[in-house]
Amino acid sequence: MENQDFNKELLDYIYGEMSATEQKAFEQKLREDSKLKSEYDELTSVREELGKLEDKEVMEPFSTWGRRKSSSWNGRNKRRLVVFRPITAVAASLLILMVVGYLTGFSVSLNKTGFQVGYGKFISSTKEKVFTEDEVKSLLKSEIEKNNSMILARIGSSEQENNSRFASLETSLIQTEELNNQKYATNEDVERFFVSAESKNIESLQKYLATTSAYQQEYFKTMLTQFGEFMQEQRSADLNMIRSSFVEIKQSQNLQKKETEQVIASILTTVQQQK
Amino acid sequence: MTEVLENIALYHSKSLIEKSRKGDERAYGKLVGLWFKRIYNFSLKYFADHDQAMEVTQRTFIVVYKKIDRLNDVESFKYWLYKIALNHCREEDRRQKRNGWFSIFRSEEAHQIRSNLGNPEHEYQRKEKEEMISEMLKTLPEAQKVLIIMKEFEGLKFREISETLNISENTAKSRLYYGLKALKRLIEKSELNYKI
Repeated sequence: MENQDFNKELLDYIYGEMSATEQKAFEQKLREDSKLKSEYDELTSVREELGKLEDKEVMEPFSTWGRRKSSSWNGRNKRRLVVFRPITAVAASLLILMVVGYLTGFSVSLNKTGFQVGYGKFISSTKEKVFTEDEVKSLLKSEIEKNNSMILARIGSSEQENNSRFASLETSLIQTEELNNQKYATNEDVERFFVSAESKNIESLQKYLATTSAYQQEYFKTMLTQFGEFMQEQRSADLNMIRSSFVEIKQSQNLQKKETEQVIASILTTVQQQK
Repeated sequence: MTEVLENIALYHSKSLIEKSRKGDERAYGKLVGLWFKRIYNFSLKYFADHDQAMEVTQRTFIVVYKKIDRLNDVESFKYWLYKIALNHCREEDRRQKRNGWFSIFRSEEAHQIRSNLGNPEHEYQRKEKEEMISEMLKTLPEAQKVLIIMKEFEGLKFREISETLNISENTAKSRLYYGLKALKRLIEKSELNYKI
């Protein structure tokens, strides 16, 4: 099935399974045959790659070999040893489990309530008390009585509370009524109040007007005096200003006259010189 | 160097196997110590998953423990051991395929664990490369993958592989050749993707 088109000698040479003379002859071939050389190179390169795959160090696992006396060992015993080793291991494991279970109080039980696994004591299935019909009735009766007495007590207390509330409400109503009575005045009282208030107002107005008219008269008098004084001062100031203006006009007229005389004089002199 | 160590291991294996067959448990313990890492790494390359590799390795040594008295030829211990490991790998692989979702979770978890280890950048790159090659190896056909693991990582000779897998040497060589070729193509493809 496998292709026989390969060089057996090449493999013998590569793996050093040739005699010295065979090796020499093959090396000669290798030098001469380039195809064979390339084949050789190819296989060698693969071997180089494979050489990178190093052996791994491994620890031999613990074994019981060599721990027994050789004299007591034969083919039969050996087989028995191999066969019984797992049984011994299982038995030892069970023994350890039993001891640990005993020490920790581990227990397993199967009863009517079910399958139980646990440590310590099991909580025993509780014997529930069963009541008879009469017991249930009496229990119900006592409970109803208790309930009724409680409700009655509550009703009594709420009645007292309500009474006290009604009493306080009544007193407050009376007080309100009294207040209402006090609140409204009669028409006569109102008229009397307005009349008294009117007369008081007139009196105070009269007093006010009297005082204010005297004060206003005084005020106007002083104001007029001050105004007269002011007007007088203003008049004298204006007169002074007019007077000084006249003086200024007169002075400028004189100056103009002098200038005109000078101009005429200068013209006369110029004319005279031209002549 | 690997070969020297393997020869030393094999030499010690012979006496240990003899003692184990006679019922010396101490000798069997030493035998396990000698081969545990090899079988673990063989399974790890097969699955690229620590948990699965660990499981297969442990199962392998349990079977060896049970059946070592039936091993007639001490010389064939190595092939016998690899054969048991490979059978368990195949069994685990079938189981993994049955529980697809679970294995996805597991490989994802393993990937996460691997990613969390080591912070420096070069360490990360190295791990990434390792993971990539592991994943590529996983995608190869099972027969080719087993050949590559046995030859490249376990250093078995073609004769030893043919004895372990009950196939001819030529078939072994052919599977290895085409496995390597397929791997080369995958590497080139991934490099191309990386460049893009």
